[in-house]
Amino acid sequence: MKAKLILPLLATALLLAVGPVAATTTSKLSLGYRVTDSKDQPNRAAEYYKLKDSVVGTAKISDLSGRRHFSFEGTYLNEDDYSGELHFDQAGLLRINLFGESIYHNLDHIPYPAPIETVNSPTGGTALFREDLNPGDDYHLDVHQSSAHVRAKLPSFPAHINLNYWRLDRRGKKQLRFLDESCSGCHLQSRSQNVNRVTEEFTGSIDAHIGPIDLIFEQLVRIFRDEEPLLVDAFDRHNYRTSNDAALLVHDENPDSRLVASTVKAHTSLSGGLNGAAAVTLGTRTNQSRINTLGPVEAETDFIKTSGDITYIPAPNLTFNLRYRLLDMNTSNSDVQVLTDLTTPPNTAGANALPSIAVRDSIDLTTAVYNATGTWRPNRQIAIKADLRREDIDRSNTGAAGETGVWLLPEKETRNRLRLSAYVHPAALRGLKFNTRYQYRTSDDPAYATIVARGHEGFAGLTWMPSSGSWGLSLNGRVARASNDEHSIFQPSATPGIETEYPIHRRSEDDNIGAGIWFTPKDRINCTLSYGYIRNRIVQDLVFGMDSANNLVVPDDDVEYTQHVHSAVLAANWQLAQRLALIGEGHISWSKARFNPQFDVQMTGFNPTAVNATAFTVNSDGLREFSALDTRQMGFVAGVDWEPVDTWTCLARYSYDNYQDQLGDEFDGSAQTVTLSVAKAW
Amino acid sequence: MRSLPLLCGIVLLLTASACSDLATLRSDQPLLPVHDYERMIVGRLDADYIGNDQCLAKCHKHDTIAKNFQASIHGEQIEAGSGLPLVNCESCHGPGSLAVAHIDEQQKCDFATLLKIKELPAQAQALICLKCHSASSTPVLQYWNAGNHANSDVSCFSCHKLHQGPQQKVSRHDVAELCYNCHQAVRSQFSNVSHHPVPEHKIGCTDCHNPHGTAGEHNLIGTTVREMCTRCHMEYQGPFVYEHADVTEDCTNCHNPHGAPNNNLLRVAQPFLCMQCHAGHQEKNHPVLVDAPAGSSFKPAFYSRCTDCHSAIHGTDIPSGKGKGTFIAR
Repeated sequence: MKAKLILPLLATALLLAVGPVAATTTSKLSLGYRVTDSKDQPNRAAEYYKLKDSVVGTAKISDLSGRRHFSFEGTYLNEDDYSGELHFDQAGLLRINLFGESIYHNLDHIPYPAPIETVNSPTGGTALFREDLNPGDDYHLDVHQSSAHVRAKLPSFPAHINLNYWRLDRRGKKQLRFLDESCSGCHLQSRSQNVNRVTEEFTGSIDAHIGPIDLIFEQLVRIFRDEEPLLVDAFDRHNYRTSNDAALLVHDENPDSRLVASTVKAHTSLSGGLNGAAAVTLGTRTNQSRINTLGPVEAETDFIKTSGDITYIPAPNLTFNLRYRLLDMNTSNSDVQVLTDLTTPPNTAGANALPSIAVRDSIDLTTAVYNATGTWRPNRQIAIKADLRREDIDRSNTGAAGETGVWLLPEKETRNRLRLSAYVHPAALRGLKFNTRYQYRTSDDPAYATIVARGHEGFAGLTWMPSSGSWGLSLNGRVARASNDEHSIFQPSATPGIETEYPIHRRSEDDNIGAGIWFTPKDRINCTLSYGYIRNRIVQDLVFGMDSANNLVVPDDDVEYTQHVHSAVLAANWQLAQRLALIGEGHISWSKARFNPQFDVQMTGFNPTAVNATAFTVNSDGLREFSALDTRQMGFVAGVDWEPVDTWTCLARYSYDNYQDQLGDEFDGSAQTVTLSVAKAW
Repeated sequence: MRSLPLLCGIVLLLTASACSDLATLRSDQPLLPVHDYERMIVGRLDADYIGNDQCLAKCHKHDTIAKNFQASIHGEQIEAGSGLPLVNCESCHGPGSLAVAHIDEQQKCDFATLLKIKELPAQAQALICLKCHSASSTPVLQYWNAGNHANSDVSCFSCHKLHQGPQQKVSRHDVAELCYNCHQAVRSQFSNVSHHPVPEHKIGCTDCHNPHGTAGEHNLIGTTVREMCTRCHMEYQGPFVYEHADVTEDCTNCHNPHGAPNNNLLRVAQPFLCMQCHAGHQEKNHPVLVDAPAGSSFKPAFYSRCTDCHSAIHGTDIPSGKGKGTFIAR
């Protein structure tokens, strides 16, 4: 509540401080009421709106006269959806910016069975259980953001002191789905989790222009706190223990953490044909976990970041850039964790005592990026650019294939990218811009299947804004093809310490096109229409199963995953009369996804022992449906702005948003709002 | 403590600077002037600077623009004592005497005698701004020259419309529409069901990107994608005792920050998302893929959303039941 009052109060105080109203002082206030309505489940239809009837208002106040500037701009939809920004500037010597905002974010409640559902094992073994502990709960987050920025300049020298404070609060309730692992039967649970997380950032910096160079020093401290108590639940038998006693255990922790970084930057004059810029940052990220039932919880990353840019323009038609980036992260973590539990009294001895767990070392990562760019402009209408980028990645503590308990990632990886681009501005067609590029990427030892081992990409874009000003258009398209045949998945084999390798082949296609046009079909009517299409297709070998020791793994080659999204937006503005305007905007998007594993085999070796020799059919039936997607989302806004007399405006808005899932109805719903307001300008 | 040497360095440099000639120190000193560009923006050599007042007195057509400009950040911050260049109409448009020389007969300015800014190469356009901002300590421009925009024929005027009103920075509310003019595919990405609230004007492109250039790829604020994302999502910063390797490197392996058809900005749906790098479940105690009637099939539990069980997927300080960091709750 305090935050909501601070900005308007400061605005009023500063406005009074500004003194007599000058000619350049303007203000506009509006006040109205918004009525909301919803049908079914509106959380996806109106994901970022709180559907609550409320007084609404906006304020815009500014005094830009003389050498002291002041402005305030704010909107209010309800107590969880508002924003305000205040700016004060004293002759460029002192600038103060205050900002406050609240966003409301509706979250999904994915259906889980309530009461508990028992799923019997198809082979007669251990059953599993699914349960929603808080059925019917509604989930959302209030995200509050506030910041204060002060920039002060020396009166007769270009040097500044900057102070920044930024705070982000997330409060609300979300669904936590988790597993009580290694119990007598796996217990998948859903429960409500209170959220109260705070991030605060303090930044202080000094920047100065000192003859041939500019120097900047910046100190940053960022702190994260989870202000909710640690989650504790009763878990069934745990693999650490030999008995079947239930135990209270901490789970799903969001550790408090801290980031401290010091940065020095320097650059030469920006206006010359030879520029240099460099920066060095030293920093530490520290895990400040509050867990005291196991330990030690130690994790800290020391990092060094350096960057260097050189730009050389030997002639107006040639530009060369060299960019260098280095990120060196060294992470230390606990070697061993000793476990206790929250049972009273705690199990500290005997069969129930929790043992020590050896922890694998975290990866240390060094990434060096070298980027060289050359641009040639044969004339003022054409620019041709070549860009070469090399990224050397060095990972440590990764382990090697065949070892267990290690990361199984390559220690060294080099990624290269060549990009050729052209920009054309034909003199004969003013307002026409055309650009195109081709890109080739490689990785010599891709760490992950999703990394491109070899990839080609083409892009072309055109914008045309004829000088007539009555229409304009924009078209672009991108086609990308990539492959990665150098990745493997490793699984434990029958021989301890030796893992079975499953080579993975992957091809991916990423395409998109976009088109936009704006035009004035009739005097005083402006229309904008845009359309976009995004297509992803991945064909990859997958490994179903992780028990190669017992031959219960099903490799499935060339599994296809495709995703298509179409979207369109139409907006129009019609100045019906001098004092009357109509506005309308509609948007629609369709999304489809398909996953197509195909296997059907007979397998033996399942537990319990009684069925060990029995052959069961193992197939992909049913898997496709879990990843299938077919959704439609649409919405529109219609409104009237009417100015019955000078300085007074009446506004009316109607909005409708709808979400439909063609394959289910859990999240189907719609929301509509009607807003009426009156504005007065001074 | 580690920042102490840096602080000392700064203090020493500032002290050394203080002992030098002030006027020299606050001037712009380009290492290697590009004379061709400077010639392009200097304007007609046979024209004289006449100042705003004389120019506007001849023709009042631009009074509103001049008034807005005076009310802008450019109009109010410069004073003679600061040593910074005066900013007025002629600072960008070139000397104006010829433009108004025959205004009585022609009834309007002769624009042809002023700088044809729109016809200049982007680099020369940018130089109009940089020649002043080089001497005014503008840290945000540190990475401009070697950045992607500067090398893609984008100039300051592509985004900053200095005549549209006193507000010459692009507002957070309007910035997305501006960016979409060139980055149209991003508009399509934000049309996805799962998206950051940019279309709702509750986040702006500049919350994550600095269009003036940064140390990171894609003009991201912060050196790495992870550094950018964990500013707001710091609960995933860690470091954790048990790290998820690809999360350490790049959040975009799994998430598309602009938008995706799958919930939580996931690039592709689970379980395929995870199975790109990991084997799916099935072992002797868990007959996950055995064909069975709906009421007794394990497939929905093990092959719909991996993160229902691996709920601490971004990293955890708590070992899983088998003592590995498998990101299971406990």
